[in-house]
Amino acid sequence: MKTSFAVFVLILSIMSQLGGMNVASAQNAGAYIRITDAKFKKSLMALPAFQFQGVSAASPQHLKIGKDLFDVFRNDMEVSGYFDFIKPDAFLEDTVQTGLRPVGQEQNGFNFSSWKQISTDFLVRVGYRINGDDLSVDTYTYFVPQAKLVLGKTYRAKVGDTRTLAHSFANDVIKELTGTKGMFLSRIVTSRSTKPGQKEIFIMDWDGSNSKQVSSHKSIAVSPTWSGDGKTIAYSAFAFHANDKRRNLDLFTYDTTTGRRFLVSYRKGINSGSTFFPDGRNLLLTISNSGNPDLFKMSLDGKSLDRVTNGPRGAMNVEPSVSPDSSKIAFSSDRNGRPHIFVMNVDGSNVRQITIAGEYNSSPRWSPDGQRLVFAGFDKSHFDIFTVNADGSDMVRLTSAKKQNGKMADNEDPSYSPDGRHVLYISNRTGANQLYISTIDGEVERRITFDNSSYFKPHWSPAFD
Amino acid sequence: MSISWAFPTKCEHFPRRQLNPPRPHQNKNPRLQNLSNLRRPKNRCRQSQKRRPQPSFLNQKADPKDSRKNQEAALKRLDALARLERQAKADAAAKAIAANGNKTGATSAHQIKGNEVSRGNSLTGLTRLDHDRYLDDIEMRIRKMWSPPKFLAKASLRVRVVLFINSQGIIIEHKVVQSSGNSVFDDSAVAAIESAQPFAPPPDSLESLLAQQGVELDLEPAGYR
Repeated sequence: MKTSFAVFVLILSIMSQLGGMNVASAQNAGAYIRITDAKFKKSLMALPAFQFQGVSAASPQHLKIGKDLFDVFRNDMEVSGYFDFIKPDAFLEDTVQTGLRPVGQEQNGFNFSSWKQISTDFLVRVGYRINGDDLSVDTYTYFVPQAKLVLGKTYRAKVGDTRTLAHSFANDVIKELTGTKGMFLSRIVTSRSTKPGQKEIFIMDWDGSNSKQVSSHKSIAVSPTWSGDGKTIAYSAFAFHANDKRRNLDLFTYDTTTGRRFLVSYRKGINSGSTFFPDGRNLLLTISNSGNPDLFKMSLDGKSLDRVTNGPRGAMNVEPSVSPDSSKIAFSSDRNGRPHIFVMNVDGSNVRQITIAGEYNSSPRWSPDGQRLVFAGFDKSHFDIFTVNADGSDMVRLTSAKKQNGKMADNEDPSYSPDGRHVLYISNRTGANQLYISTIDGEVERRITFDNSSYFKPHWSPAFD
Repeated sequence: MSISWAFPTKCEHFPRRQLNPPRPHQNKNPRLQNLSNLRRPKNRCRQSQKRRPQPSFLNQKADPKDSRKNQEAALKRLDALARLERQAKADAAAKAIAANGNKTGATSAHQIKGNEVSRGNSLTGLTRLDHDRYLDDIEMRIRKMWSPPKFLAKASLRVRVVLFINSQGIIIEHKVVQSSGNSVFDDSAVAAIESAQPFAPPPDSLESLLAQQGVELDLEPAGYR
């Protein structure tokens, strides 16, 4: 009896030990801690002035080019939201005298230790040469804690393309650190007031520079949008129809490379809120000639038309946006009373309401990775920009601003940057609508335009490289 | 009665279901009028920072991927505790048999030795609480000191480090058992661990485990969307 009991205990203990070892995965440590939360912080960048490396002394014109290069690059780095800058008077080296490379590679080189001492994470050393019309820029980007060269590249361009060169350099630095290129070569198309009662279409760089007017209808031109390859713009403008003796909101396309313009749809009523399909062969827009403003898929020549939404009667279906994988459409509709954001399959089926809160939610746009939507929502007294998952969960507010009179400002018409890191929108906090961008976590906000006109419905271009 | 939904303020996440929003405080009694000033609107920014998803298997709002990892983490923790408990019970059983007279031979008291930890401990009740509390303390200290660079926030990196701690709470050694592939990220994690010490002296039940097998730190910060 006692023997069998002892054997029983023995077997039990064997089984319990074996059982325990089977369930646990092979790991040496007996205790385990998992951390899924960390405070990410900006890296410290040391950006000394760019060195002129000509044979003769630099002319004022040369120095201006160097300054433009520097200002554009620094602005790009700041807007990325990844860097804080060390003040030049904290530098321990005289960067005018020391070379662009470390002591081991150059006689007059710099010492990593003098940069480590001031807690530098990234050191960027740039030199430039100008030969007549040709600009050549040598760049060296170092990660100081590991004394390693992260990016060493030379850029060449004509003197007139200084800004483009600086933007390319900024894009490459961001690509090296994060794996995806920055948006610094991208552009914005927008409707802008020119005279009282007139609005025209303008194109500018993402930072507001190089603004060019591309329409002159001398009426009201609105809702511009870029094609996926960035070559064509579609927009709507009020044009006078002589037969009907009335103005009609017609759809135009404008080829930015040739400057040619086409009248694509002049059906009676509204032809507006257009957006390109990702393959660039069709447009999705609101057309109202059948009674209700509904969404239609239309060929680029305006001829073939496929209905995508059908009322219900009395409802408006407007402001569509096609997802980057062409599977879904987000749009705004007041079919349930107030305007809300809806998502449906690209064939018009499976319509689901995304926003439930608020009185007025409009102008949805997809993020470049197709995971989230950005839209403008009216909250008690004013519009703000929100992002939300495609299923309506995890809504985040991006903006919150006050006007000078203390009231809350309206922030509207949002659009994602091509790298998905920023959102562009209009805000009337200074009085008239001006363009602003913000990082997608809402932390860093930047004003882009500084003038007295009013902007409407801007659209951020695709990446141009 | 219509429930009024509210938009999230700048620092708050919009929950799927929102409970009744706070009603404005109504005080008909003039003597109590002043009390209404005491009820200030909640500072939602601070609240939302407190309510960050914690690596706990009790967090039901975690999305499926997170909850699977959290469940794995919880399972591993339970396994470690279960193993310690089994060992303690087996030791107690062996002692009981030995005390009752060893007539059946030595083999009955012979235990299969798996991972051997400190003997004669039983991890139930208060001891288990100490164990959990100590590990939570380590986690909190490391999390406070850790600031990985922002440009890696969206890179979905994960590094695993095994940490050996002595009886005074000082780090004996750290070993990176699974690198994230990014040396900047790994370095920032190791720097945080080193600067989080000295930890509190471990409780008796954990002392030899921490010195000999160490504690595994699984660091995988979720970036922002």
